[in-house]
Amino acid sequence: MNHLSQDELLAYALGESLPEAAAHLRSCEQCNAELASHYASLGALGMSEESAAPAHLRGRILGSLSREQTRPSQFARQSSSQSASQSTTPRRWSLIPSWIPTFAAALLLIAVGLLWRDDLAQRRRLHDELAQLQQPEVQADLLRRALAAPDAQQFSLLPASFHPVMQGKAIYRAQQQQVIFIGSHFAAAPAGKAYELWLLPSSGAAPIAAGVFQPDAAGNVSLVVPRLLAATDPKGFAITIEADSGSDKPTSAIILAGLKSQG
Amino acid sequence: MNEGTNLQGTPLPHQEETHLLRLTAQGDEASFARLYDLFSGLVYGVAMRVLRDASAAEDVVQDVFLQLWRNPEVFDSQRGRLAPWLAVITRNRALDRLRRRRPEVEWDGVLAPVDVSFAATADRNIMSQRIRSALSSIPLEQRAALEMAFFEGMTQAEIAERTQTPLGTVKSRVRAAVNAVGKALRP
Repeated sequence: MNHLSQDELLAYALGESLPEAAAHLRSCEQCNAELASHYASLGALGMSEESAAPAHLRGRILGSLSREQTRPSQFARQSSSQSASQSTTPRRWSLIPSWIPTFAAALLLIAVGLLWRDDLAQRRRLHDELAQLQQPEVQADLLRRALAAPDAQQFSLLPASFHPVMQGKAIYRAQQQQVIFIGSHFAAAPAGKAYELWLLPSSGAAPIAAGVFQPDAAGNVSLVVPRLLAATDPKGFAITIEADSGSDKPTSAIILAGLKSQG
Repeated sequence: MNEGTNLQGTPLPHQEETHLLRLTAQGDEASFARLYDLFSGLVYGVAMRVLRDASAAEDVVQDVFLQLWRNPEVFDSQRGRLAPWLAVITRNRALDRLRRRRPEVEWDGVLAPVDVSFAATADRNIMSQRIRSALSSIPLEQRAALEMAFFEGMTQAEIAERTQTPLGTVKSRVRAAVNAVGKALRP
């Protein structure tokens, strides 16, 4: 048997489409062993990238387990196999002992108990889900997703005498280098232009581009920047009007700005 | 709670890993949560490296862990350790997402990596440092070729085209880089 070359094995492990190699691997233990060692090296390469997952993700994933189809527990499987093996041939009614009605009543009670237990378990699950949803990190995730959702509608509540002006609020999460900007009463940008959000570093360094946006027809803005390329402590944010493809640095006057001390 | 990372965590004995997988297969959420705490940093790190997008990486983490929850038996713990297997699976899923296509590689299409000695003798933290050290000691073009192949999912022919390098040279660079990583796994 001609075994696969190291290059073929490596290309296969890296995911290249090699039908002949795949066919060979179905029946060759030796090549499979070598392939597994390549997977170990590639897996280790991946492991060198390990970094902390966002805290809210834990709640999101563990909270979703209850929505997954419940897998039968081993206990349940054992019970079902035992009951199958213990089944007997039907008996004639004339031979049914007098304890059968009592037994049937007991079964009914057990069934009611099981239903009640299921209901209780379901209520506990709902309670757990609600508790999960109330955790700050989960709520933050929901907020971020709602802001980014295309069907989200926004309502600004203001005093009746208030004359609306362009305004916005930027939220910066330093650890994630994540920016969320919510704005309202933005006029449409001039043709070929767009609004650009800038992070103003507290170090006094040049502003960092944090996203280009266009307001919707109602003048609202929801901008979510999952991760800025540069990490820095901001003293504030500002907005200018730039070319609609965005700019590396501000080229026009600031039309809206907010510094940390202004809340 | 070791929130979402095991960077400072203690190494997980192989037996405990197997035990947690077995309990997860029985629907035990606490065991699954422990697996998440141990491996979410690894899965997230790989997904971020491939996708460079936190939101997309989170979706891949969720996908990988829910697949593990639905079908933990697909990983054969008798043949190796969970961490490198998860790294390869996550890389494949992230690349699929990057290309916006349906998953191409089935879970059971990836062999469990053999139980190389690092798993028994050192924790992942130490091992990761050894891998980084090995990668920093090889020529830059070898490292770049391997990273393009693994994290960007480029075929070796594509790498040759992008880097204007003969295909044979690219193959030897990738092979040398993988061998360097493999050597770092051995004590």
